[in-house]
Amino acid sequence: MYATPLHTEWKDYKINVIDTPGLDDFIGEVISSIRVCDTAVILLNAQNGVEIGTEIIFDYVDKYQRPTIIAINQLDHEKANFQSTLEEAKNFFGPAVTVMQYPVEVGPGFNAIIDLLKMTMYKFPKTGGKPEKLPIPESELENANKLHNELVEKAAENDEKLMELYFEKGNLDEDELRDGIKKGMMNHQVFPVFCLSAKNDMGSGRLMGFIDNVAPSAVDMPAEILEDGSEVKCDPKAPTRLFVFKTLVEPHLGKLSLFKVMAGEVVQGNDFQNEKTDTTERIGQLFILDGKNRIQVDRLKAGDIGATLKLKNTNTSDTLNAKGARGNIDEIHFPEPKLRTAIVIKNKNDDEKLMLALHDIHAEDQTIRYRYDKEIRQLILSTQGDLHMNIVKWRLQHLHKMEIDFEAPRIPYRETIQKPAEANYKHKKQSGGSGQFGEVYMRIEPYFEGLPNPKDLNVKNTEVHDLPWGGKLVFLNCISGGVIDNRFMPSIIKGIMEKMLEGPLTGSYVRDVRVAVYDGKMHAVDSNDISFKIAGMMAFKEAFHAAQPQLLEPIYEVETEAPEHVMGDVMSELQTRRSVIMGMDSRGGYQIIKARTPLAELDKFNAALRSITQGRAKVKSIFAEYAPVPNEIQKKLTEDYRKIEVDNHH
Amino acid sequence: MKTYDEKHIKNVALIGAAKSGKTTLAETMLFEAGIISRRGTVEEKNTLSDYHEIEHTAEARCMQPHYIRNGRIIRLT
Repeated sequence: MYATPLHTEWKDYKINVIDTPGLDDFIGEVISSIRVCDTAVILLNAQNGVEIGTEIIFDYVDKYQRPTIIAINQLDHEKANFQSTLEEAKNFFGPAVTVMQYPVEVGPGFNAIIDLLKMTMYKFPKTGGKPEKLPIPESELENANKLHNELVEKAAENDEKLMELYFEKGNLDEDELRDGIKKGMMNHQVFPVFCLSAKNDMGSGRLMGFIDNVAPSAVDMPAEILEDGSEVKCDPKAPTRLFVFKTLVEPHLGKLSLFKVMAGEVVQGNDFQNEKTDTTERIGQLFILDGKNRIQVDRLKAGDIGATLKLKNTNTSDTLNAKGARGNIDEIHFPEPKLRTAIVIKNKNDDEKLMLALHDIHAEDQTIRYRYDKEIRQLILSTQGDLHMNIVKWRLQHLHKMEIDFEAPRIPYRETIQKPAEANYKHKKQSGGSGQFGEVYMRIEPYFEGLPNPKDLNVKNTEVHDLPWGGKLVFLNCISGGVIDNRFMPSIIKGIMEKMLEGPLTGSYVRDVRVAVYDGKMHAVDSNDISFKIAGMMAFKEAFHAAQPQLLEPIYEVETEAPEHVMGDVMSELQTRRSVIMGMDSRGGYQIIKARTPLAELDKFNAALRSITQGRAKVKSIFAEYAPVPNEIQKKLTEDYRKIEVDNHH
Repeated sequence: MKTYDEKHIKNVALIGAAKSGKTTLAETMLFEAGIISRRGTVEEKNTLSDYHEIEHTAEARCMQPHYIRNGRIIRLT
């Protein structure tokens, strides 16, 4: 579930290994790992070939153009199939896939690998570990030579000099081959294929040797880009820059920041400037990590990966600059969350604790987001998937000891009217003490731009209120003969506004209404602000119900990208979700459906999509407009709201 | 520990689908180099990578999604 940094040392080289999670719920962990690695090792399970998870992750390897090694693992398994896995890899990753090794035998008898760079057979003892180096047996020579030649051609393709040499000699030596393969990896033109049984400890030594000798270091890689577009080369002599790619909040330990040294070197006790938060941070302790084990070190050089504690004002994606360096390295671009839910807390006193916990959770994983939505009065949590969501729940319950539940996010409906209506309301309270009295006659109409003034009323004054939630309230003062004093008009508007904030149908915001107050009564002693506010509010409510009220719902433009063979299912899912299909398109082997979907259905659609497409679909959605809710749904929502209103009354 | 210069540091990320063997490979790479003296296994939950409490709880396992592939249920971890 988490990316874990480890280190190993193999023949005078240090290899930092980041072990990443395999599920797309944790894609954030994978993206930040890809961002700081200089080579991606893609593992394929020889029983399954290229699996769904791999496809999703490869998009990011491709985007960052990371040199790539393909390691075909579990070759010892009964159902392992090297050839079909290789074919799938070639189909999926393209012609860059280049055989560097192949197994002599696949299945439980797997114990030997033919290496086409070294032209040697590695034969492992039963317990794995260090292999014997043997000449390639007669029976494999023809095949090995053929594949070796393919490897040589592939290596030569990436360099003109090597190409010339190859034409001259008809072959390349080991060093020339390494050189060509390295260039090919950096151009994303060669993905060398390795063979493994990690479980039986077979093949990892040769893989590490290749990483040492061929895979690029950070110094070989293209420069990092600053936000202003300028470049930062991984130069050990330049002013030091650290890039924080991951944050962990560990129980009993606090905040742990993991970084890559992008330039210069870092020494324990160094001070750095964080421009984003405008603070100075000290690297008090310097570590490298092997899982939870921290190994203290004095210094780390350009290209290395390390960690420190207690950086109070530094987050994932921040740059720490030593004196002489300025600017922020381009941040890690995480994908938008895919699912959302509302968090309900059982004990209101835990509110603050909940916000602190969510703050930490977001600091660790920026693909998780949360915000309090004032309109729907819910705390909304957004994640990459179901599992991701349940893990947040687990953490809140078990690590932070809070009782919480999830519920569906409310929908920010809007209410409006479809025809004019009139109503009057008399507010009267005259028992003991000073009384209250106010009476208002009003007409309400659906408002639209350019609506002419009513012909039968004498408009004295017009007020246009732009509503913060969209739409307008237009107020016409049509009182004649001074039956209501002008000074009470603001109170009437206040009463109307109050009801517009909590609409009569479902308690949602009301929009696009014109209200004309054309008659009423006041009392010389008892009339006051509160009386007219109540009268205005109640008259508005009555008129609203008579004006054929209409509930509006937010409609989103939804773009779903998925492989062709699941498109039929995506389409029918959309149709059961009250969506209107707007069009179809294709992009690089993927189909795109554009649709308009009500928000009320969108959460369900997103949840269903994962199982329909096995996680292969990408969805983008953006708010488009408010549109009328179908009658039967409006009826149900209105009835539900009435029940709540009645309950609250008792 | 030895300080390595920029030419002798390699950063690799192990990526791939669930159960492709990333954690086992990482464990093996450290074991082969003598960084650790014993290899943990994913089944016994004693690898260097899987140290977060949540990964070892029954709840976490129940939450795991599954896909159906070729008529078989595949649970993912």
